[in-house]
Amino acid sequence: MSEQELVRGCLAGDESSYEELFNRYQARALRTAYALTGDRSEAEDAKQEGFVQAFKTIHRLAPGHEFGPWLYRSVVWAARNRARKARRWREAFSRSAAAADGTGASGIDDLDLRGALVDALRGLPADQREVLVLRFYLDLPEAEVAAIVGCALGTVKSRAARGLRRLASSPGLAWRRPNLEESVHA
Amino acid sequence: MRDELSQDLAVLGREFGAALRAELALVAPGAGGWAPVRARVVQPVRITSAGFRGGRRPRWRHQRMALVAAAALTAAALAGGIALASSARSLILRPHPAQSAPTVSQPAQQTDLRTAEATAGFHILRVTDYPRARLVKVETLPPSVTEQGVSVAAPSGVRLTYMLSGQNVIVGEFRSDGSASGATVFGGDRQGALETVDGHQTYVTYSDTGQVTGMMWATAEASVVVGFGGPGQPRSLAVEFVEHLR
Repeated sequence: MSEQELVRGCLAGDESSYEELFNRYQARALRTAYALTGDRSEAEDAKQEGFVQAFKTIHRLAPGHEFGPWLYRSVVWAARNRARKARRWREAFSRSAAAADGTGASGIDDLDLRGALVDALRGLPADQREVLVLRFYLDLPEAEVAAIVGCALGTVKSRAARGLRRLASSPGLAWRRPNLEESVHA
Repeated sequence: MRDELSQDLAVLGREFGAALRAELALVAPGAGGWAPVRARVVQPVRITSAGFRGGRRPRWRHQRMALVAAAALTAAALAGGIALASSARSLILRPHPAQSAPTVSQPAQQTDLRTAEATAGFHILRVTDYPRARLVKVETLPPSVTEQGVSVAAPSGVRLTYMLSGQNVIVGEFRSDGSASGATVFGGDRQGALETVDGHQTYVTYSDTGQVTGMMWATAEASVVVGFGGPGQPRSLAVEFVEHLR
């Protein structure tokens, strides 16, 4: 069944269409949220809230448009909101969670999962992080990224450039090509 | 500083994307799929034989664990992205009066049942039914080995069951008119209730469901604190959506 048919099914109240869309997108939505938040538990919440919001407003999705960017927009917003709310308690929460049973908040040790790139992403300003994840992880066109994060096309480009430069200077990132580092800093 | 992506930066971006995809491949959705139930541990808490109470009255000030629990609940509320402050304030947990006698009851017209295994600890379990935007948050709190407590703030149309040793214990049904069966609701804060279900007693405490609902999705949400068994004893908590209650 095509995505457009699934969207039409959702609009008609067909729960199997909701489920199929969820199954198609949940992994990418979760990973996107994880890249944005750096926290498994927060990512799960952002994914959930993103889906709920995307489904609640699916009637506003223009005919012919893809569901993915519609969903990612909601996930990005959910991640932003969660990060804002979580900033104050995250550390204490993690400590108490670890004290409870030695695992992270979701029962999975986030530190085991989180790699150097996600760590480096957490060090970026949120606006640069969003652009990098949407543009290079999800492979969305710049115009789509601009629509999702709510900025101009040129801003997407500049944020991507600044974010990549900062990432390239992050220590311990194995994905960098040694010969590229010099040109980036040139 | 250049604002446009140079060729080198574009290459770097593609390499970054590929590396990030490989790294994030480790992050897989948890079990539960369409309506996932997941647990997060917030705070280990013991319930004393005198119980504990978080409230606007100063009674709990002399009970250290109560303070810990209230703080944990507040943190949990923030973590969940909902303003559960009122719920936390109105939380009451007391020793379960029927510790050795789990109620056995098969719910009628069961349409959807999600369960999650959780070890002793303070948990939030969340169930989301996406098409209806119904969100159920479940927090579990470990009692001491011999004590259990249940605190419920629930939406309409939801029946919550506590599965103990593979058997269901219905702790409450919540109707669209705001009423609830199986429990007594006190005053504006909806604090304190001793529920009797199938001849077995279960403590059920309501926080302000109206506020919880208002802070979250338009319809059904629940925040549940359930006492689990002793440390290391896994239990299942089930949140059930019952069609005929909608």
